[in-house]
Amino acid sequence: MHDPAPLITEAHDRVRALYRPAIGRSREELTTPALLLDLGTLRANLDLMAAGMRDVPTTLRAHVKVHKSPHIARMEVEHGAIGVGCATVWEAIVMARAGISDVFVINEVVGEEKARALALLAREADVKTAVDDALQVDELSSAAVAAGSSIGVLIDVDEGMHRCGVASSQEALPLARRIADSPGLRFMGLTGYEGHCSLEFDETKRHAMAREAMGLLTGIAADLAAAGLPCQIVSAAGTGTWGVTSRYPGVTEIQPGSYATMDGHHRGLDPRFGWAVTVLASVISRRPDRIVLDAGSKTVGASHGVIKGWDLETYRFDEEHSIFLANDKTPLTTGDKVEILCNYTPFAIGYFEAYHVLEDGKVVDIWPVMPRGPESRWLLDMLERGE
Amino acid sequence: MSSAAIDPQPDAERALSTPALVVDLDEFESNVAAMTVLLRGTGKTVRPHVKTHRTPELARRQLGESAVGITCATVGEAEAMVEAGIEDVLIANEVVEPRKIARLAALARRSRIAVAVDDQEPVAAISQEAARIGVTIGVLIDVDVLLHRCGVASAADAVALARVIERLPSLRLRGIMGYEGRLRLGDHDRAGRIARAYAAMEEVVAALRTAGFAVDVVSGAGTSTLREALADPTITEIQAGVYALMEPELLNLDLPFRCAVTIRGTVISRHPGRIVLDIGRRVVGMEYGPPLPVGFAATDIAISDEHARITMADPLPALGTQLDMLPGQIRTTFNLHDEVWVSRGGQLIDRWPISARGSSQ
Repeated sequence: MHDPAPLITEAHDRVRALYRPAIGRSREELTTPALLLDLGTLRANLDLMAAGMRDVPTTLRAHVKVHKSPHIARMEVEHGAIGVGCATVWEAIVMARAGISDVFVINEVVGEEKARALALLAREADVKTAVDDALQVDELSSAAVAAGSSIGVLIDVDEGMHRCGVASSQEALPLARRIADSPGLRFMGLTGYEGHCSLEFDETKRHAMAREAMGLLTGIAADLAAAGLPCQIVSAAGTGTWGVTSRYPGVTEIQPGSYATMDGHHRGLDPRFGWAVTVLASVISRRPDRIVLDAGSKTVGASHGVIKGWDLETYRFDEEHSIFLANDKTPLTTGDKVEILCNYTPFAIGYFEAYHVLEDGKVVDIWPVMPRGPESRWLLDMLERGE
Repeated sequence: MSSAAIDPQPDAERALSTPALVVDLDEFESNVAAMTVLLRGTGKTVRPHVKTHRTPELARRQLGESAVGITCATVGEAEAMVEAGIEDVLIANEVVEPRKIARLAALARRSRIAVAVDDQEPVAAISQEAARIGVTIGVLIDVDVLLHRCGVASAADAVALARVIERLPSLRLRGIMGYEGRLRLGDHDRAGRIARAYAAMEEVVAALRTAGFAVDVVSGAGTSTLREALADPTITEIQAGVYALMEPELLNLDLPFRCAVTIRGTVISRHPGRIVLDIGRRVVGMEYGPPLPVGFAATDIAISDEHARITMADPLPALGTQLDMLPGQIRTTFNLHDEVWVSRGGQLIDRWPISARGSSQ
């Protein structure tokens, strides 16, 4: 892993300057609402995943779309991840500049400008992306040739989510040939995401669904190999299915993301990982029958959350407020701070520009959420200027 | 304050990168003008709530004949708006943390500031800080007329709080606020609940006046309850925000406002019977359901974090085609973007920063 480039250190310096008064303070002394990252819990999550990956035949590719943090991504690589998975080309640029040499945009990249961004980035990092159509292949090839670079390409397989991806070997074969024959591109293999399994909370059923999905994915890989197009990479899985997919013969890497930060939904799938990210809020109004917090759907996200350490029933989430039922015995009063455990952390992260990083109860650093986008075309401008 | 001219050298030759938020300035201006017409002759004003878009360039264009100032939900929003030159701001929310109270008082050096209160302790803290730096802060007593959120619960509590405010330096009691604007068409007992909310406000105003307090401002209502608020004799100021940009769900209110904001996506994947756009929950607010198609028909829309899966009939649009959708919830949608593109007459003419994005502190 290389040292972070100025892009990252400048963003880090900017948020540190912006939230300087918070550094050294405890939770109770912070301005709210604030996005908290507990370093001890994060490390425990990364250790747990590293331990789980020790005796399996696959490697870990950490998906960064949840946390959008170059700092967390570097820690994931230090804990054994071979590289990162990204949802956008902009995330890939940030992560490469964070010093991570293996970046995979696990999504379809369409449009000349985004293809150009990937091709320029491929001059400085091992860049891979997913395709499910010949048009994407041709656009990527033209961009790579123009940039004088080489992009690794994986075919996206629809494992049952019915979103992007090819559904059969018949569709995959001509696409793989086209990639292999396209200048500037390297055919690397297959990628799939069995996201439909993560909506099933019964573990036995979920694992059976995941095995079925892996059967489809590895079956297509076998057909491609038989046709002379072997897959160097067969990538799959999320936090809800990694236990099965990491051991499945023929799968080479897994791509979970939520395991690092966690949330209510994913703890329902794998409770071994802890809440590393929470939202700190203040009681701003105390009425006899309720408390009102200054964190609502515009900070916690549309899927809401519960108060850590307090068994209070949710009355309602508004945009800037959440309201919990209380009585005169509830010892919470105006100005008190509480932490909200989010049901789905990505939404909360999207509403903040920085993490307050806590260790042993004190803020030790401020880390940027990056890229915040989606208006991130300036990252392409930066690559084009040769910076 | 003069309204800002459009950037004479817009960045529009540059390709729009999706997903992107686009405001149709013609529709926006038509909505702002329609509000002015609705208010004319009523003696009421609108104080546009800018939490809707958190965009100073839009906020400035909502001021004029019928609007002298704006409404904010947070101190951070107010700071971004004052920085952009707006000189009259109501923070229609409780501010209790000492550091935020210090920021609130600092704002009062540069702008006319008012804030909502519902408790003695924060009132005392605000007074102390305002006196310390030599500014005056306006206060509105927040009355819980519907939401069971913040606000005093009775006229007696309001009078008691007014007596506290009266004795404290550097505060000026301007009036009251109560918010019933959340009620939507089809809500249970909508008319009755609005009527009771206005009756509660009227009762508080009467009690305060009887106790010798001047009540210049009675602030409330939103786009959903605009017609009822216009017909109510007590309300002096309307805190509506969505009217300028609109949301599809409010179109059935029969108000003279049209949807002015779309989110533009690109077809990134295409399979028999469906396409996938790069519009997901990370860029569009979903509290009132998925975004709606503009200029194309869909039989099903499924939104995940980064994708919209659109089930539709042939012919499917080609890969790379840009398509527009109407966000169901524009307030959370704006809060997920750094900037909004501006179109006029169907042409992109500019990009404006959503400067107060994420300013929830």
